[in-house]
Amino acid sequence: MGKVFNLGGVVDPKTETEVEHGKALLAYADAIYENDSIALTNKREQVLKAIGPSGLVEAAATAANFSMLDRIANAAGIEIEAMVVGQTEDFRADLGINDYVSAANTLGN
Amino acid sequence: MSSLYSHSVVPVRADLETVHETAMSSFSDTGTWFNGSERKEIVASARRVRHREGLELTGFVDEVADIPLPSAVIELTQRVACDAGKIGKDFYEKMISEALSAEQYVEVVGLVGRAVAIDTFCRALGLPMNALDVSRPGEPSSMRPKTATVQHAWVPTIPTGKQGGTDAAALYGDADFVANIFSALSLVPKEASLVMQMGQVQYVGADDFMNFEFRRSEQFSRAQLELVAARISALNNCFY
Repeated sequence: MGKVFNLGGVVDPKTETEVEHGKALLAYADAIYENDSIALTNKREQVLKAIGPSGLVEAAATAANFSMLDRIANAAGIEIEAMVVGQTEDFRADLGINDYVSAANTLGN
Repeated sequence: MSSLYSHSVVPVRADLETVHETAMSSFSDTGTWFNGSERKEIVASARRVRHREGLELTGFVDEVADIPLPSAVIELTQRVACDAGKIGKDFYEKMISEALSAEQYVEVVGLVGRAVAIDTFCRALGLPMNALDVSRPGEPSSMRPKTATVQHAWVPTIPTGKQGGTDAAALYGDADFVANIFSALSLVPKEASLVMQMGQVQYVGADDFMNFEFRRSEQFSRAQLELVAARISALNNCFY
């Protein structure tokens, strides 16, 4: 069995995710999203120290990718694939994801 | 000759730089439903509104040229750029009833989504925004895929397999399954193709999607990748 991670950190960055350098990465993701360039510079430096230049580039590319895909998913009104709906049911409610506007596309609420 | 990220302090892998160069060029090219000037204006407008909302885009240059665009295009551009998490079906239907076709809606969503991705990447690394190219002349092709139909989204999409016919073969190859996110913009195949190209390079290619040991950098595991992806999606209120 693979390592188990705590998904709670995705919606509450204070939660320990058990992902290596998870706190620094979550803080970096938040700073990319928010409007404080000084904070972003600090968080970038922390990630650079933790996972090096190639890791930093991959983290930035991932943030870029989901900044794109999330907008497309939300604006096109796509449903989640049927097989994924069941697989994610156990944690969606706990994380509050079912309350997103775009949840209606799949759940019809 | 300098490349897009040759000035970056941290080395950017070549395939990432290439796919962003292709995307930057496409913003000023003739599209399927908008010409090059209009497409460039849509991207410039998205950047302007994000800057006005307070997002500090390094080296921001306002490239809006006051090219006339329908008010619905402006409103859609602003919503996708800044507030896509609150877009509901009522908004889509309102847009479609206001002199904007579903095809135009899809092209705008693709343009803005791709532009935000590249600006986000630059901001994340502390790089200045990439300048937009001079728009290129040409008339939009107005080619609508004949097989596109409403299936798993508000917008019509090309079905996979035989149902999608030559449209599906041209866009998806011989894939029997395509994730809804990658068929989402298939009403405008050029946009869908560019999104798929970016997704493969910025995230994980289709062949490696189920490989949980996959990593492009020894210092960035799949778990770390998914953590950043999930956090960004939570911030964007994206259920998908």
